[in-house]
Amino acid sequence: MKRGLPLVAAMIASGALSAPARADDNAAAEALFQQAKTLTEQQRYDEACPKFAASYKLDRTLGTLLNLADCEEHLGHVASAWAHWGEAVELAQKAGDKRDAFATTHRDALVKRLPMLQLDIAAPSATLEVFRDGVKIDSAAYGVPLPSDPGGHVVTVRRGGETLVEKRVVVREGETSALALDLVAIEKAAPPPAAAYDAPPSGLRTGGFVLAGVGAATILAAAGLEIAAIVNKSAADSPDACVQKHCTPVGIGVAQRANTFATAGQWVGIGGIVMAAVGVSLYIASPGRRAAPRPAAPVTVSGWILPGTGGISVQGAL
Amino acid sequence: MIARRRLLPALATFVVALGIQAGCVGVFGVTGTLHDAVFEMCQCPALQPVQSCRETLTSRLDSANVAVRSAWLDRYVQECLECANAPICLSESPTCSLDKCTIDAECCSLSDAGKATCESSHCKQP
Repeated sequence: MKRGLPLVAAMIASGALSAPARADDNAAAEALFQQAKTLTEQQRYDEACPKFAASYKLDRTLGTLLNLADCEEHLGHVASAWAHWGEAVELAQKAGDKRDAFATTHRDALVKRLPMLQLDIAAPSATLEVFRDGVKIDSAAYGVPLPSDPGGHVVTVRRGGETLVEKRVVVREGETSALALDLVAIEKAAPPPAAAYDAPPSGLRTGGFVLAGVGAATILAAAGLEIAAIVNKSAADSPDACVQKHCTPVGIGVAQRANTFATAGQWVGIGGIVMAAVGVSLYIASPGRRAAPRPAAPVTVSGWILPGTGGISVQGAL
Repeated sequence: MIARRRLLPALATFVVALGIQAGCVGVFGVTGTLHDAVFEMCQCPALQPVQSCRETLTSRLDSANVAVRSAWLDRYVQECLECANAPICLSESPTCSLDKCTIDAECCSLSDAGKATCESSHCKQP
């Protein structure tokens, strides 16, 4: 490489002076190139290479490309250097520039040193994408050894903007590293979230709401009956109506009314509570707006009633 | 899971409310057999001659004031639960009569001079 340096330097001069692609980028490209050149002379390749790349982006000249490839080669980025030497060969051949031989020599010399990264994708997926260092790998490249700069690389499997798997692979010069990925297994491990949807208010939900409302109204009616029972009970308890369960005919009537109202209030109340319980259960259990759909869960309502008391149980997978 | 967490307190509330509700009749104490004093008294053999006993006594009780009715009921419970004593309560106000009658016990005794008697379907003071 030491022999090549003066030659490259000479070529840089001629390349850098060639016509820029756009006049308004010329100054910036030239400034970047000169800075990179100075850094190269100081062997500060890690700083020089990005400036050569930036200059080449603004002004795609052969000289800048050759310097960029040379810089990357010095930096040990053999895959990038190999690619840029190749690009330089094409550019030189198109332009009829005799520096194509120089670029070809360098490119071919790097072939044996190229580190390869092979992504073995067991089951391609329509929804998952594979990226290497943030750059998407086309499915056609799956299983193909891809030249990669030595060192660590990050391979990610993404669904949209979500990273599902992230693997780090280290590749070395002259070696091929393979990374196997089973996209089906990855997708199975991280299934896509159920699509949110604008579910219309389900009949179950509406029915539950209505039933709960009717139940609440029935409970209020029961409360009214119970109040009537209390009023009549108070009248029946007066000493001119009943004494020790012995009553005047009027007392008997009042006491019977109290009992009738209390019994009616009891059963109406139980009915109201059952309706409200079932209604609220249906309302809560049924899928709501913007909720993910789920299989209908059977809700079992059972009640028990004993003299003087009662109960209700609602069971179901919610 | 969220639905379950929301449902459980609601269910507990409903069960408690149901238990309370179901106990209303018992809590109010309106259960148990009640006895109709007039009906039971009129069943007694001594009062069988009284014409339209039940209706007549009911009418007299209803038209009495609260204090009189309370006193009569209190005495009935204390003394007249047995048929043998039924005439005693019949001759008390307000079930006794000052005018029409069918038996002596039906007539109110207004003085200590003696008991009133029923003569020609009319009460006669001694």
